[in-house]
Amino acid sequence: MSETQALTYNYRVIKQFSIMTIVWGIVGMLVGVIIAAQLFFPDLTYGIEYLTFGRLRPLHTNAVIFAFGGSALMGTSLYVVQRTCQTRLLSDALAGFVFWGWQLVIVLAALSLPMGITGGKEYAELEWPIDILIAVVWVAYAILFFGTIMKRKTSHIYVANWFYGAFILTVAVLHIVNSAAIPVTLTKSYSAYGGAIDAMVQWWYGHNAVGFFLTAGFLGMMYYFIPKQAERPVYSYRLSIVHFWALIATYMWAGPHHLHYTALPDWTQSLGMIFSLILLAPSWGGMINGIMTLSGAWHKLRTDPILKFLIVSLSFYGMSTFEGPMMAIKTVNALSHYTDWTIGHVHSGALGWVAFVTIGAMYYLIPKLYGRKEMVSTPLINLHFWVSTIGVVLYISAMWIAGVMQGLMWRAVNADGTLTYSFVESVQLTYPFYAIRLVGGILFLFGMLIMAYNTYKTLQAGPDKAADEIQDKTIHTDAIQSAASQSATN
Amino acid sequence: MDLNLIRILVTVALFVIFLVLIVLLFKKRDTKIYKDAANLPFVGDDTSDIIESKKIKGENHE
Repeated sequence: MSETQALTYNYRVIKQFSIMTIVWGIVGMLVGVIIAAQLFFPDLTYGIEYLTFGRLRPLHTNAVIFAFGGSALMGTSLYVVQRTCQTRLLSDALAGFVFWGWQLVIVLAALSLPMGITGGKEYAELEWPIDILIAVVWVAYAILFFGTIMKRKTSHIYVANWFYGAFILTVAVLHIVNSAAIPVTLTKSYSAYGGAIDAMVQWWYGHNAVGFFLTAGFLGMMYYFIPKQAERPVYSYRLSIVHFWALIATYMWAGPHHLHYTALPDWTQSLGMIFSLILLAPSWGGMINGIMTLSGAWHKLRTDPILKFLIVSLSFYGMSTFEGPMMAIKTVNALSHYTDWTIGHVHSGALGWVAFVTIGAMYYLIPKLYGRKEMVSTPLINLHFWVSTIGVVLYISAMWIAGVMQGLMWRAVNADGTLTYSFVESVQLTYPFYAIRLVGGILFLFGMLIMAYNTYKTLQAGPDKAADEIQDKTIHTDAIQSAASQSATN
Repeated sequence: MDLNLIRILVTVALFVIFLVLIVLLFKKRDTKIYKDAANLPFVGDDTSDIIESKKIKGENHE
């Protein structure tokens, strides 16, 4: 018994996280579609307090980032660390604790946010008891991940694990520091920091949530699943190491660009802007490294929709990491800040990059976990790809146009110094773009439903016969090898 | 020592460490190490959860 266990990976926790990635993706994006619809039909939810925009919006962001993204990152990181370290996870019990603990956090968030229980910090809304639970689960996750690296059979730690490791360590530090609060009751607390310092801590956290949760972690995913799906090693391993150190050293300083023209000291704003501009270099270095992995095998893009998801995710990554530094320039930010341009930018990263790379990785991973070579239907993956691509493009282009228009209208002044437009005029003109964005969001959600159906059918179909044969062959080869080594010893 | 001087020195030191990292990284004699590292995802059979050490060699642009 113990011998068999020592010879296998823990796939159970990966299966659990993979399935929940799809489930939470659908839930989070459905809430996103509801709030997008609320902007077009303001009376959609009849003023029921639990369903107002203000309460559902944090539910949407928490669900897509921490439930969908978090499950995807935990699942893939625990898969990649086992496969590239050629060892089983440190502890199956700990793996179970991390999975169920994280699901409990998600359920508590889904209950508390619509009830209006919130700390009020963006992307860190959850109240202090849930924050403590997050910290405990996260530390368990860190022990599980790094413990597995420590017992690895390989001499080198593959670069994907470096990115996952940086994500795990940094998110622990960010969460614990930013969530420091003084509890008043079980469901209410106040930040431990005051005024401009509180704002700075919040956006140090907020931007690094983007940099480490939504970037470094998913880059770890990219560095494993793109080479696997393309069936060739990463373009330059050396570049991936430069990419790693440059990215993590630079991201940490970019937060103040969220606070341009506020009470934050001017030099801090400039520092944030400069580091955001520098970030373009490592971001594009990584993107080029990923895309060039396909060098010499570009034809695969024509027939392989999983590779399409993965490579297009890098294109969106390249676009949003160009757009981000531009928006961090103070004069550009003066136009873009507080407009829907920001929403467009976030979604080109979150849908185009994060969701696409996750979807690609899941289409690779799920069949493998269940003993199959591929998903039951490749045409459905292709359909998913086109539906979501059209969805993202509609979404972000609508938000770009709306955002630039809002920025220009808000700053327009007459010769006598009065404002040319009232705020409500800009809202009125944004209306059609909210409709286009809603359509884009519905398409993206529809794509996720196609994925859920395909996954259900794949699980129902069960393992390939061929896979069984391969397994038999492996065991057979092992037996021959051990016999051969035995006879050699004799 | 002045706090600003420490800040300057730390920043410069970090930048120098980064340059040293790049120089060390691109040493020619380590090419094989990075090539092997880049091949780590290709060890073992994908559809099996059994750990074995079959290696597939691929091309790597080092």
